[in-house]
Amino acid sequence: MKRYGINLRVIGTIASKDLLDAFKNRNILSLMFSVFMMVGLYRFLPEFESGETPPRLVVYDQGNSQWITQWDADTNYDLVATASMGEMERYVADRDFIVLGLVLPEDFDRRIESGESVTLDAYVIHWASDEAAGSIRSYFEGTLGNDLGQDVHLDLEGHTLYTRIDSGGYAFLTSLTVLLALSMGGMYIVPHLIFEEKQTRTLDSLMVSPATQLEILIAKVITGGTIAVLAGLLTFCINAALVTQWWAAILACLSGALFFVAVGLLVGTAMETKQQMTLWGFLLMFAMLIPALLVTLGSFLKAGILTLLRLTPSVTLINLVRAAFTNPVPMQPLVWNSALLLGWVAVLYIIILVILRRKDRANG
Amino acid sequence: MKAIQVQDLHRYYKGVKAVRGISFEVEYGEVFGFLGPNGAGKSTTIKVLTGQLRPTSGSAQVVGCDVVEGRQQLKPQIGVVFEYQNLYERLSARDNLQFSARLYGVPKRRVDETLAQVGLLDRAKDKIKTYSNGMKQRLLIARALLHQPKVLFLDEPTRGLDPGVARGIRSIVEKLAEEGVTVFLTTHYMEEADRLSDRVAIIHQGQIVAIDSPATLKAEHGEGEGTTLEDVFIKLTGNELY
Repeated sequence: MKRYGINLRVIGTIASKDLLDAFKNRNILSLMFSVFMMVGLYRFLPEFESGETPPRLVVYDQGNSQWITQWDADTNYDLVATASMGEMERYVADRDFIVLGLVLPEDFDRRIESGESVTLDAYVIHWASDEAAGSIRSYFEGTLGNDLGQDVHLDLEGHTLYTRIDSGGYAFLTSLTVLLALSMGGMYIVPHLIFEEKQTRTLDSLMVSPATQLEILIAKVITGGTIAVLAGLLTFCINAALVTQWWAAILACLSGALFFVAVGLLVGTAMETKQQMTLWGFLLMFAMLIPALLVTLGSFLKAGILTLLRLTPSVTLINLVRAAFTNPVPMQPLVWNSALLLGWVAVLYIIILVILRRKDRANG
Repeated sequence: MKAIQVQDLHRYYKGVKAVRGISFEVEYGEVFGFLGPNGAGKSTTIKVLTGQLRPTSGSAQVVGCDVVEGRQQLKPQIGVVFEYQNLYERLSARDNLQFSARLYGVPKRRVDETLAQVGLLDRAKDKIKTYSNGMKQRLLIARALLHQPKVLFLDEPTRGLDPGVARGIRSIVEKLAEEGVTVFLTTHYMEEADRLSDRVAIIHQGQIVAIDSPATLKAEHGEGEGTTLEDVFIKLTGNELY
């Protein structure tokens, strides 16, 4: 059972004890419950909304149609006109509700005047269910048909739009909830486990057992990592409609768990009191959310600042999460963000080892 | 080879000289009482001998293993009962011992054997938080004995316990001594040390001021018949016990 100087049996024993203990710990259970309440609430709240908001139509008009002005005045729906196909696609992908994208061809007005039957290319986001996509298509076939005074067919076939690695809306908000779930396992549960071992002084009994400091540390990484990965995957499952690449979702969970566990270990080893631990956990979480929000929402920021923010761990992780919602996966950004995040993980583990070595020397 | 060999051991911590050049040896099968007032260096010495702290200078070997270089080899050969009750409170007694059994690679059957040895088999499924202090202390001893260590360190095992429970703990130690387990015992209770120990060392301000059998110490430092180990202790350390 001894590999590379570490005892796998010892690590497995401590990790399984920690897992058993974690699931009997009311503080940890209530934390997990709160996080999943938030994840679930965000996911399912729209289902309970009144639905009084008018449906939204996003139009890319290739031929400056005169109908746009009339449609804009129609209060049965909201109209958003975009200047390009890309802008229309981006608009559809960046929402946290389902909108219908529509392309009006150059000769749209002529075809309407000649009374030809009109079939228009319509677009809907990939996470919309068949039922929801069919419903919004039917709605606009009806209302646009009324406005135009003739039948209009909207063609959704092969016109599914996918979110991008930098999408806002549902993709971004879901990536934040994944981040929250991963951070719960890593950043809160790991320091909690370490702190409790220190507080109850069970760490002393571990230190006189065959377990080494490194094996205890690895066990905590496994425990926190397991909870973080499970929490992350559960969040992906709750938002399964959004996920197009499960392998990328698993990759995001694994790398995110590694990162947050490293942060958790740092907090757990460096902090001496529960108050310090809670305060630093909160501050770190806040510090990590800010760059992610700024990069996604802060188009007012200078390019240089945005470039720097894109190097931060939370932004790289959110990008990795959003890669799971894309199709096809943009491999270059995926590899770049994975490498960046692993770089951060390596830096954190080096800092932890330095702290532990210093503490060990302080004992010596 | 001795069970414990300590040579000129010093341990300084944050400018405090907790242990200042102590030397002693403990034979296999011996119950060795290590006595001293609060802050004399008892717990620091135990921490060094069990590999939790490195000595500042000097050396110590336990069951032939250097406490610094051979710390990992030493660990499976010693059992430690701390002066505080450090158990996993949310787990049952059996879960606590099974955890230790897996850590030490001890067969599962040893868990129930050891629980029976300390009289806790019928409460094995109960969570620790429902245990009394005495039961916890017995479980701590069971945990330390689970892997059948060659040397058992007991740091004030009867502190704060009811007289009846403390008697039970003492009888467990006596039984261990009969079985030939080497016991390194610290206690504030001189009567307990007198009754259980083959030899005692009295440490004061980080230095050993006397070391011998209780009977010899009483004869050498006492003032006639009826001298207790407590009298000797107070005489040598100048301290009241509490």
